[in-house]
Amino acid sequence: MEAVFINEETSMPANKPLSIPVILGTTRQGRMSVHPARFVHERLAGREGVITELIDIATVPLPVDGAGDQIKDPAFSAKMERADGMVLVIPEYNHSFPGLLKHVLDSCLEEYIHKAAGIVGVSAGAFGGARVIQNTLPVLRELGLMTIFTDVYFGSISKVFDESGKLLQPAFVERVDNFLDELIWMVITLRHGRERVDSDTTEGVEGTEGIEGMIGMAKGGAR
Amino acid sequence: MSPLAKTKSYVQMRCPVCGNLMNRHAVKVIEPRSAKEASRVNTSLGGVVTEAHSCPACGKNAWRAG
Repeated sequence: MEAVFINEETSMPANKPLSIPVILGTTRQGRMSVHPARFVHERLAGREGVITELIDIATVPLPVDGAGDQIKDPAFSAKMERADGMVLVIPEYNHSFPGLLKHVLDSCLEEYIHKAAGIVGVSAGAFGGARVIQNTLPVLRELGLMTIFTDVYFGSISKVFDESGKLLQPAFVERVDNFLDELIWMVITLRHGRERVDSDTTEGVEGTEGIEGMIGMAKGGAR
Repeated sequence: MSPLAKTKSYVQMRCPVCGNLMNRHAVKVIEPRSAKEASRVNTSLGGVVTEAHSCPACGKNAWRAG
């Protein structure tokens, strides 16, 4: 998919692009995760109707003796507020995510609500970050992010990219593009929901007439 | 009454960027993060009620206490 289809009925004009940053989730020197992060960012930047940037958490200035609003970085907060969704590129460290990534993500909360997130796992071993992806899901859910069901697994990372970042396994082009297709669909759908579907859906709001009856029936059935 | 339900006194949020009426798309109960928020805890829900709003015109996202 090279172009983003934007339905006019959703009132999302072409001059209102989707903002989907890519977050590189490790600060370690010599990190191989920078290569898949740049690769995913490059594939995403090629999508029409999408604006993206690579956010390196090593550049987010946060003290480690506080949390949330106390330490929030205004620039990172503003980027998350503007974002419609995000890609998280996360290496697996001892079966889980880097602590500093969690620290950065925890510095915001409201900024994430009802936005889409896709996870790219990275590992030195064969499992491609499958365990870090599973361990990240409940965190993202609590932050208010909506995760997609398609992931990318960069296992045995030193065999996927060389030291210069050159992709050695072309199959990852299609895998990443498939992942981005799913993410962009979720980003568009959630933006429509944020802007058009009220949380008190029994009231009905402009543009939701088509689903109002269904929601009303569902709520009625639950009573 | 559920905090999700609109009341007659409910006032839609105005977009701080373009002035349009915003859509309230979420009501999330969060842990208090400060003394100020701790004073606003809804004891029946067990946390602070926060509303998330988005502007249908310009896409601005914003939030306020519920």
